[in-house]
Amino acid sequence: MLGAEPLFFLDYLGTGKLEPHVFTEIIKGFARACAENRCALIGGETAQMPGFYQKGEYDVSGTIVGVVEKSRILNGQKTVKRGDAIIGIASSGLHTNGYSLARKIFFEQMRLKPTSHVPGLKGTIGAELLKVHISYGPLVQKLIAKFNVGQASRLSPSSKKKFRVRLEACATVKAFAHITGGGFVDNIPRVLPKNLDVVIYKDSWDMLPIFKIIETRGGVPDAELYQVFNMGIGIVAIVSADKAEAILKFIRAQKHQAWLIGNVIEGRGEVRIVSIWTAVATPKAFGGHRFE
Amino acid sequence: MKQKAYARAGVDIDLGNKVKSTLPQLLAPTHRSEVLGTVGGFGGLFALDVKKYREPVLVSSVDGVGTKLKIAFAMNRHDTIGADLVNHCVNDIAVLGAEPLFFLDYLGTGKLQPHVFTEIIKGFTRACADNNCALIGGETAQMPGFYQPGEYDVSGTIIGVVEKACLLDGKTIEPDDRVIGIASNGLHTNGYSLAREIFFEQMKLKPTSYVPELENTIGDELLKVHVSYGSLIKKLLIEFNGTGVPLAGDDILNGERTPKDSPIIKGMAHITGGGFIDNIPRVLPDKSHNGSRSPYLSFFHNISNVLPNKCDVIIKKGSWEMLPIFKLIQTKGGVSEDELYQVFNMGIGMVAIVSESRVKDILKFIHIQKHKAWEIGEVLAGSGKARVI
Repeated sequence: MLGAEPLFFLDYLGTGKLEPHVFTEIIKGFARACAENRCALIGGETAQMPGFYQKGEYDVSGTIVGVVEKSRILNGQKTVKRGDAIIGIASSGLHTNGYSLARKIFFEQMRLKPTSHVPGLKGTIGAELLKVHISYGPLVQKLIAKFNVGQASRLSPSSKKKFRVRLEACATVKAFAHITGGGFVDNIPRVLPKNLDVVIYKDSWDMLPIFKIIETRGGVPDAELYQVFNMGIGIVAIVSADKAEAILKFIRAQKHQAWLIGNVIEGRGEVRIVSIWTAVATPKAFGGHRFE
Repeated sequence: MKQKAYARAGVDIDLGNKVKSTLPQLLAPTHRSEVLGTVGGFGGLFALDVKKYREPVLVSSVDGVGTKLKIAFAMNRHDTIGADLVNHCVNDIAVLGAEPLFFLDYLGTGKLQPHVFTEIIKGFTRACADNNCALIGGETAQMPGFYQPGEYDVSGTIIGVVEKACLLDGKTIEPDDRVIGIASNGLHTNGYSLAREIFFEQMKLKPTSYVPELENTIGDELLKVHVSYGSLIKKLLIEFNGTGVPLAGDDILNGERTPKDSPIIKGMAHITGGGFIDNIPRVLPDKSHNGSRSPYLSFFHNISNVLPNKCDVIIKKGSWEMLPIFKLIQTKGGVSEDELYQVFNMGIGMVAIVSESRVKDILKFIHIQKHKAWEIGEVLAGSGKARVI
């Protein structure tokens, strides 16, 4: 989200009694994803703590260290402008947020089992909920290389200082926000200037079946759903409106689904989630920019 | 206001956000000039000043505090655990010659209690500030159903840096080197499951029980914070190895401050789980294992393995003052000595393997730094093992 690429990773595994085959499976998961993200797994701690965890249960955490050239750090709080477009890139499901609520809905309210089949979902609910959190790392690197660095280097800067200023000035991909716990509402403001708002238009992207089920069966108000779940959007990119179409095309060519899902207007550093219908009824909300 | 569905399911985002809003103030004392940005970004930013090093090597370590947490829960004291964890991590990288840059914590809990959260973070921040380490990130996971009410687990990761030429790798350790042991102040963060069994089940003590031999309650004794040896090690390496200080370009050219080819302090080991027996061999030279996959090189390594170039370390029991807590464990625990020395640090938190010629100077230097230390063993030709006799 900051433009950095991974260097190395360390994992922590807290457990009651260590079962060797489970341990091996867990480490395999770390190792596979580290390899795919070109990230070295260089350390880890396995804590055996009798009395802390239920039998067969464990907790994991991990720390990643990455690096970014200082002049290429994405700083949305400086670069995002009124009229910028919000591109949403598809998630594969819940990723890693909202599971306590989802478990309540599926396993308590709907009385499903992890092995239950649910109309609308291809696999079982368990398989659906275990879908791996997508890595956007390679995509983000390519976007920055293509739309920010590539642009700036063509200006042949006379000094490093100028280079930095120009890099910021001509960054067309201005910021990314990873949509995790807290949804659009809590995550986008982390990269937004204090005098701008982001409007997200519901229904401007294909809703994944899992979220349709949560919406129709969960009995949870929409406002809360959008703060707990990613609702099908794993990351958002804030980009110059004039390059939005080109960026969308590029993302789709990288085999990710993406949509124009909102824009930046004057405000107070907040996110508003509105339906398209509301938006059409109050054209002022666009800050003078038409939403397509 | 009606409670939100997610809060009813056990996760309160608003409460989490409220608690997090107190973070900037809590983290302020751990600030370093290299830290960019503010709390709340997607990642902590640390601009390492690479000009201070010829070949900076990042050294990282992750750890937890294990079941010492159970003592903290029983004593309802939550501001020391974070310091245990930070100091443990500082020591783990210090034995390689590295000094801390930044730290990230993980806190897994069932229901988040704001005042407990604050106490935990205070432990992290105090120790980070003491070790000149920036606390630049953390994750607080609310996981209903994972932990008992009021309980939690913590882990943390430290990233430090060492000049590549100053990396303490134990390569130069040879027979007749001496082992210096530096005092711990208790169990540090290892052996708590066994200690709890001895004190609370066998001896039927309560955490608040006063134990005359300890002149303290057992709970307070067991919560003593893991000693950080970071600043001591840094001073030792500057004084005796001529390293540990940033190497400015001119100094390198002049040959000043260049790490010596034959350092006085040759290797260090943090005595944690596994005691002397498992931790000391990690720094002993092992010529058969240097990462090389080349058949050509391994041919020579195989030859060299036949030669007496591996070392053993002998640790002599009784050569240091035994802390009362370990005397108590020894006399009341009914555990064999061999096992005690593999589970507990037995009063030695850190060992340094040093050149025989400077042992007295090093001991004196450590004493001036207000740490207790003793000559507790020596290096012999052997097979890469540590033995306690």
